[in-house]
Amino acid sequence: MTPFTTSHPRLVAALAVLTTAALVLAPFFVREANLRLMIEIFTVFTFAQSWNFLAGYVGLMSFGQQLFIGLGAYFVFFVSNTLGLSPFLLLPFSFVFCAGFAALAAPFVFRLRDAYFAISIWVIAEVVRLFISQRDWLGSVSGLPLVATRGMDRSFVATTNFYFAAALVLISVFGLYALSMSRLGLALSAVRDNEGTAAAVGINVWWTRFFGFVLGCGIAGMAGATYYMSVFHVEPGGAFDPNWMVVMMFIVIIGGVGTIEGPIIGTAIYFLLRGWLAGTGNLYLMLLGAAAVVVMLVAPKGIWGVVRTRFGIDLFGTRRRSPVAQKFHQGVR
Amino acid sequence: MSLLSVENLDVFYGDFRAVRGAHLELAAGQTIAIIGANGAGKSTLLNAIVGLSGRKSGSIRFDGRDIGREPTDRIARAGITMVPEGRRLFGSLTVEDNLLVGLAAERPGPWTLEAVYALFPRLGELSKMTAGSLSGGQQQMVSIGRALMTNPRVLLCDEISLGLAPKIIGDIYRCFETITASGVSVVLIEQNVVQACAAADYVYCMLEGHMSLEGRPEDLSQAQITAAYFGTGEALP
Amino acid sequence: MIWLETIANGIFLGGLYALIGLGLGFAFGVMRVVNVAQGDFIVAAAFIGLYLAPWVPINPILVIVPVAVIAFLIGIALQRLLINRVLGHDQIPQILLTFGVAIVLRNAMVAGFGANSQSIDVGAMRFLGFNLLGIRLGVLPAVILVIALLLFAALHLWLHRSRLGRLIRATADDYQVVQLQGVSYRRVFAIAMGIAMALSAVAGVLLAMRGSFTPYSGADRLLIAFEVVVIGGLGSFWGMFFGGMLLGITQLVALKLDPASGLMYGHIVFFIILILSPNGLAGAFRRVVLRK
Repeated sequence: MTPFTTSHPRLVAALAVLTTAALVLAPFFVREANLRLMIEIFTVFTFAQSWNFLAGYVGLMSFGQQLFIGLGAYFVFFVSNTLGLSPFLLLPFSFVFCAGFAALAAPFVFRLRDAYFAISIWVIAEVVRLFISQRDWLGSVSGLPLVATRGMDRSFVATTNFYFAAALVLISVFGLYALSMSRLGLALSAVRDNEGTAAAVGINVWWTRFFGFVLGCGIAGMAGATYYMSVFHVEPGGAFDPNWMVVMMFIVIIGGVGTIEGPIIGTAIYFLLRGWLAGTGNLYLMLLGAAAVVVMLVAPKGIWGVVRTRFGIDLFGTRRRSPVAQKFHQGVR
Repeated sequence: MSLLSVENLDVFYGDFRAVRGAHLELAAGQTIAIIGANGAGKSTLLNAIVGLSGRKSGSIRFDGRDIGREPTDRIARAGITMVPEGRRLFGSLTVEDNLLVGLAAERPGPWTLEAVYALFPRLGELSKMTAGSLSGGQQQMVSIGRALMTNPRVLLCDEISLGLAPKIIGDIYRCFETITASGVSVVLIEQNVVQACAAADYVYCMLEGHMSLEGRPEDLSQAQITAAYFGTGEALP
Repeated sequence: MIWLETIANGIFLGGLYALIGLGLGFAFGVMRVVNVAQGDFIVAAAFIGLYLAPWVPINPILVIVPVAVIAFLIGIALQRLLINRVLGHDQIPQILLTFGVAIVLRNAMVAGFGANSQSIDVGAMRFLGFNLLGIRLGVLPAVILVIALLLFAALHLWLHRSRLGRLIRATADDYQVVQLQGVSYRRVFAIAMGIAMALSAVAGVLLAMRGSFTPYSGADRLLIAFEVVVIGGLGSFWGMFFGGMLLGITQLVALKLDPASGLMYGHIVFFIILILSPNGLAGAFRRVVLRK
């Protein structure tokens, strides 16, 4: 397999170092209110990137990614409140919890394909939402506060949250880059493009997909926990809101599915639009939906897809495509 | 003047050029055969003629009209249809329903349900069976019958002998006498050179996407065909 | 006795759920397209029904006829203008496209009609009842079940007896080869989507007569439709019907036991069936009864 797009590992490494440095220094120069906005942007970007990873790299489209946002948040809030532990200590375990949940669900939902798979995860999200809404020990419909952070210094909380959000951004950009360059990344793209040929060259299709699914869901969960920790309160209607899916899909579709750069552009556009259209309510959501429709019709590969073919720019260059695979795509149905 | 004429045809799969500068002439009432090894571009050529392939350039003219950009269903309604490779019956439909789908082309002519059953009497007996439950030979008859129901002027046949017993192949090829007698012009794709030369008035040999040899079967020698088929032309005197 | 009544009402509701699933299942069976906007179109049909019902002569329930016609035309337009443009090997573009349509439609309805709960008024019929084997049942739910059964039977007969039905089945089997017989699969797809939308629209209007709806009801409707199709065993006609029954009975029994549960137990039953039989009820039927 010859990669058609070339990547620049050194350039990416330099970029990674610069970004890390900038993110480490940011809290010393940025005001607390802006830090909060950045936490939101970073976590929403990570939600989108986790969905992009599943849809564009693993080939699994989910309509229920809000499940893991909510699960991650509830895990940290509930365990921290009950055991009196620091939520920051628990944050990494929200990844483990959500990944474990995904691993348990996978054997069942993997029996369904495409849209049916996508909706089955949505169904799980609904079951979990309805379950939590009825349990007083989980705060029922009014939700849970985060008790542990009440006594902490506000700017310490904001800074720590910021570092976690920054770590998520680094993972979902440079971690994804490293993963897609690895053997596993190659296996994932082979499975995504053609299950039959992937199996024929000795890739275990089920386990490859399973691993991708668990990883993507775990990251979404950790991002969900980080997001809700920065607002100190979680309730089922918001955490498991299907509108999270609208936001994620908008960001990824507009930017370009299956690219690392796409969701970065998508996130920027999303937050700009949200700023301009603040207070218009439904008009803003309608615009997001209409933009998704137009992009699917005019440029299904998104803005980054257009930029890449028009100008030949490809920083991360992680989409491998061989002519043989293309022939299979068009010839076999 | 020829009924179907292909000139300088290129067909692409992505960046891969599967057919390169191919040409073909089919006169009314004629039967021609295209032979060649696996992957020589034979099926791609037929798919391109009926508009089922991807990107293509060159000229495909039917009855003097350019059909290179027409969609498959309009080409079928104009009078070119194909018996696809692997038969591809509508597996959940009965034999009779499979045949009746051909009426959608809205081309009246000699080929009716009765005429197809007269050609393949066995299908009349199986008419209420589900197409997916038939044997390979019976399925091939349904596939040919389904194509005939559109009353084509040109019938393209993609490897109709593939995977069938020699006796059944013989039975099916005998039916082509009746088919051509009804005025249908036929293009056969065959890997079996002997079968192709026996059935056709004119033979093309394809190699790596282009025509490596053509002529009337009686004018072509065994050595010429072997060379054109396997691409060892220069090595032979 | 109260349980018998609950189960009877569950069957009535189940017939309607089956009808909700039928549109989605039919579109999937023919085109392998999953219209994610189906739930929101069902709600849109309910709004059209709400505004047309007062103008319908004889009985308000007849509003299903004009709504079905409108939905049929919308379905054709949706397929021709949008979905046909993104058909291909990959299903993701179609799904994302219809998802976008769903968001636009839902929020347009919120903007246009407000978020309040509404219901279509069927007049006195809503309160009529009859006695059967000593239990009291509503006339309206029974009429709705009969309509659902008739539509299932009519679609089945039409697919197997009519010329167009035959072309639809052939296209469902192999949409490429059908073109060689002179059939435009894009046109067949448009008609199939029209039918799917008309069926869903009828279900949406009937559901709005039995109960209430808001512009946000689309998500629940889509999940019900999806569960009916999967429980039935993707594309199995009568499997869907029993899938709907099972969900309807489950939901009403669960509401008796746990009034705040909503659709939760229906979702759980769906997962239990998925675990026990990946091919739904039709698969289990083939395995257990036919021993295949």
